[in-house]
Amino acid sequence: MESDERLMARLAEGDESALGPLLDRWRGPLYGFLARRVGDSDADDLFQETWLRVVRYRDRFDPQRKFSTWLFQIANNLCRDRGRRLEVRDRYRRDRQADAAGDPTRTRPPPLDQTLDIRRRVAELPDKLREVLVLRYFRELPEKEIARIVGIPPGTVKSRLHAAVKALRAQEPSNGTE
Amino acid sequence: MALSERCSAVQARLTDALFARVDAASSDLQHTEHCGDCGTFARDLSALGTALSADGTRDASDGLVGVTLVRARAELSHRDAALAAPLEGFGREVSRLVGLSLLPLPIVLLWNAAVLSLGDQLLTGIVPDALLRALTAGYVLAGTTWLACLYGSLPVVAHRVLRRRSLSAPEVAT
Ligand SMILES: [Zn+2]
Repeated sequence: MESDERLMARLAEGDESALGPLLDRWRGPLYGFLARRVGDSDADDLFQETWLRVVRYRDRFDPQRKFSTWLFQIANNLCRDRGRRLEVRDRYRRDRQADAAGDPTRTRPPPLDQTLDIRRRVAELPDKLREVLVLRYFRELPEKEIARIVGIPPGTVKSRLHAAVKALRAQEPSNGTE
Repeated sequence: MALSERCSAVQARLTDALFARVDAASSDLQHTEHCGDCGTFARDLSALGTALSADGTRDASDGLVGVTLVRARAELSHRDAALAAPLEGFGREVSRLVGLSLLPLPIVLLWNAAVLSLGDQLLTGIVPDALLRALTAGYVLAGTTWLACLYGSLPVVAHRVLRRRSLSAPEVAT
């Protein structure tokens, strides 16, 4: 089977037929990553945008490097951009909701093992923690590769993973009384 | 309440084991049986692992993949065509840039003439004539070089502007 890097090299030379196999190979992993990073509704847009960028910047790809690292770098950067845009909007919305309710504290979610709501919990993690959690747990990438994708030292990947677990646990009332 | 160093280390290793999808070390598991904090941590971690694993694999729909392929191919052919095509309106763009840069030129020339004249008045009699002539020549040379670089770069700038415009993403309906 032709390697991803070889297919990318062909794409860089303008060979359109290299695109289909690449897309086919990575559609599941990329979509799963995006859906967990940004939710299903935005994953469709970012999925398309990621591939458009792969094509647009195809001559910037270094064939000495792994295609998947580059692909997830592009996708992760798009998620971050989107996160920054939403942050401003969400802050405004939260402020208004808190004003309306007169109480800024939110109700505690039920314990992890009693809920199927893990998606929402992952979605509510800070972006920095969610990106490493998704890449590590769902993509099963080694910490070194995550470090390259996210652009942080491997030690920081580890500490963010631990912080993500801590944050997910913190949502859970350990004594179980609601 | 702060955790003891041992408990922190145990909990860190349990977390690493979750992400590495391997069983925790038996000594750590033994510890969790006797330590309340670590026992609770291990149960939470196991619940978390179960919940995360239950969130199965996801895939892009065939429709989405189809649309993506169409858009990516359009991008590919658009970019190739844009790169291969001669740049239209190059002469017009250069003329536009030259026109723009000519606007402040009289002021720049007048200013430099004033500097030369004032310098001449101030320095005559103080520095030797030969040195004054050399200073004037140096100033004129520097000014001329600067203008030459500025006007010489305009075709390059025009090329870049047009290329960027021609490469901007094509609009394809989704
Ligand atoms: Zn302990």
